[in-house]
Amino acid sequence: MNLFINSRIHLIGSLIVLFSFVAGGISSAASVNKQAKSSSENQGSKSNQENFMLTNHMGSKVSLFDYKGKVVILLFGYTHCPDICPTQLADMQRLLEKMGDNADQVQVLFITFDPERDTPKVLKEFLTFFHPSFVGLTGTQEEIASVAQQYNVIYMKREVGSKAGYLIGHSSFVYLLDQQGHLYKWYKQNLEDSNSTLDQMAGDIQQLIMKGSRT
Amino acid sequence: MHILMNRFFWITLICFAFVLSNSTKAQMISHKSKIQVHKAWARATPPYTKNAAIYMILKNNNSANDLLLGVQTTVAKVVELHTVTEEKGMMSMYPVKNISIPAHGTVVLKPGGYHMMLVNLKRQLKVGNHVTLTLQFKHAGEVKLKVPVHKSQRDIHEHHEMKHD
Repeated sequence: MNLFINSRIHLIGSLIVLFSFVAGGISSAASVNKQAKSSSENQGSKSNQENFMLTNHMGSKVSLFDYKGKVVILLFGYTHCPDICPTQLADMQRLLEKMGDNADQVQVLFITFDPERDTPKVLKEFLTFFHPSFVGLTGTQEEIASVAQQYNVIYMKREVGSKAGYLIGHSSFVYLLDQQGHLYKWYKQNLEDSNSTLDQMAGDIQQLIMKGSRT
Repeated sequence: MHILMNRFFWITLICFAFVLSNSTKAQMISHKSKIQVHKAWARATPPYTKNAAIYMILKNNNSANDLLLGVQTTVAKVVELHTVTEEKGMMSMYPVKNISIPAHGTVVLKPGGYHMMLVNLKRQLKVGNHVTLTLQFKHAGEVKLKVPVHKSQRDIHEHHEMKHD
């Protein structure tokens, strides 16, 4: 009798544990992606607000809408960052490889938090190392802050006693914009193994490209 | 016959002494190698980039905790130990004085986590190069290693052709 009750309790207990693992696993899965809501009524008034103007790594003024017609991947970071920023850019390079022939329909833009040290020349060397088509964007502190705010990107300059000088803490989402420059989705990668996020991004980009070719 | 006169006694004693001395030597060597380093790699850097990251797995086979106190290399002015924490939605790097490796434990240095930061590189780290590092541990002492430079973490697992652009 006792044995029967014990095994039932064990079974229920195991199921609870298993369920929590599964639930926890799903919720903390490799990527969190959120879809931006935009109704067709809002698009007209919203569209111009989404445009921004910065300086590219050739020293020319460019606007986001200059890239209309291409799917845009937007990243934020700084070149003194040895870990997260190069990891994300290497991942974006891999993503373009996954896109195959469609890679030329994708534009990666990297906006620096550090215009003081990340001059156009520095950005050019940094970005083109990962892929010749990647573009680095800089500007004044105010211009960059304004774009960061547009995408709810937070960042903070920090003196931490490193010989590298000041470091910048920052949120590290990757933003996917459609061919009209509207925010479509954003992603949080698992930096250690980003495969599932990259596959998801590749799928979403393919969808945008197919949608774009139909209109 | 008195034991001291017995040659077998002396032969056995000498053999025993020999074995004992060798095993002590082996112990001394294995004490130094009680920190094992696995899958170490340095991230390739763009030209003129100031800083680089090195990642690895540190395994402590000792029955006592150990501390990674510091790292030296000839390829950069300074090597700092860093950790990354996420606070208020921001990923932030912090220098740490040392990294603790528990007894019979493993610590993984990986993207988005602990890493060694090479500060003010003297040369670009190119794929195919190696970086010589000297790790200083509190108990295990010095561990020297040659770390290969790779473009990404995937390259340390796979063997594939170099992509030609």
